[in-house]
Amino acid sequence: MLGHNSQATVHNPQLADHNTIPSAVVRRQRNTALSLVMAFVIVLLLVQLWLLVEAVEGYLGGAGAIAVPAAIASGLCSLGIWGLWRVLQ
Amino acid sequence: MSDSTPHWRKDFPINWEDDHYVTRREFTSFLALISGALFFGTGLVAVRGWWQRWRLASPNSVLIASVAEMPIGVAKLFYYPTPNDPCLLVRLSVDRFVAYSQRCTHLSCPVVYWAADGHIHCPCHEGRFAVEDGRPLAGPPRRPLSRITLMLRGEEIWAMGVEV
Repeated sequence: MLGHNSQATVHNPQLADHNTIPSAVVRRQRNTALSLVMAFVIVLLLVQLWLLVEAVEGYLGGAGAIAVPAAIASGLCSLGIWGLWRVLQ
Repeated sequence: MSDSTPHWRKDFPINWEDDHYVTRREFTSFLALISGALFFGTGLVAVRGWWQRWRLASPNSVLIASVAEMPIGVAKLFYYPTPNDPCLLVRLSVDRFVAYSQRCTHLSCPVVYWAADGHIHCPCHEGRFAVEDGRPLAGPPRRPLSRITLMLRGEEIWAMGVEV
């Protein structure tokens, strides 16, 4: 089954040989995926920025307990961004 | 390089446009760094908040004033539980005293007691708090002022703890 699939990939007219330069279609797909990943990273970053602002406001207002869940959520966002960054590398 | 290339270009063969070009991967790496910095900042605030709560959890009793030095409708500044925590003591009636943290619950500006209007005022963003219980009345603050637990021991007024 695996061999059949790989054969199909090789004979696909839209895709070039994996060992050579990718076709225009593949490059376009990669471009789109890269843009999507970047957009997702930026959204996560904005969420982190909002969490930091809320944590600082809570701390200054005497409600420092807000900062703990904010820090946990920020850490999860950081992990997500790190994972996406790894995918890009 | 061709012969028409200037001599300085041969010595300094860097194309500024290429040098300043940032790929999306490089930009995403930069964003990942910023993400780490934001997480670090939020964590730092959380640790400081935890430290503050831990400090307030074990307060000691402190003599802050005597009844004789507090006429009705007058406020006195004192520091509790540490010398870095300013508080306001207000005498509302003959036998009623209240005390609050002087930090506004919006952005920590120092609040003042306005005896004429009978409320506590934050001059930074026009916040107002009820002097009876510290609840927010107007302006951006949404949380009541931290209340200081008081105890009368004869003619002495003691601060016993902080209710956040």
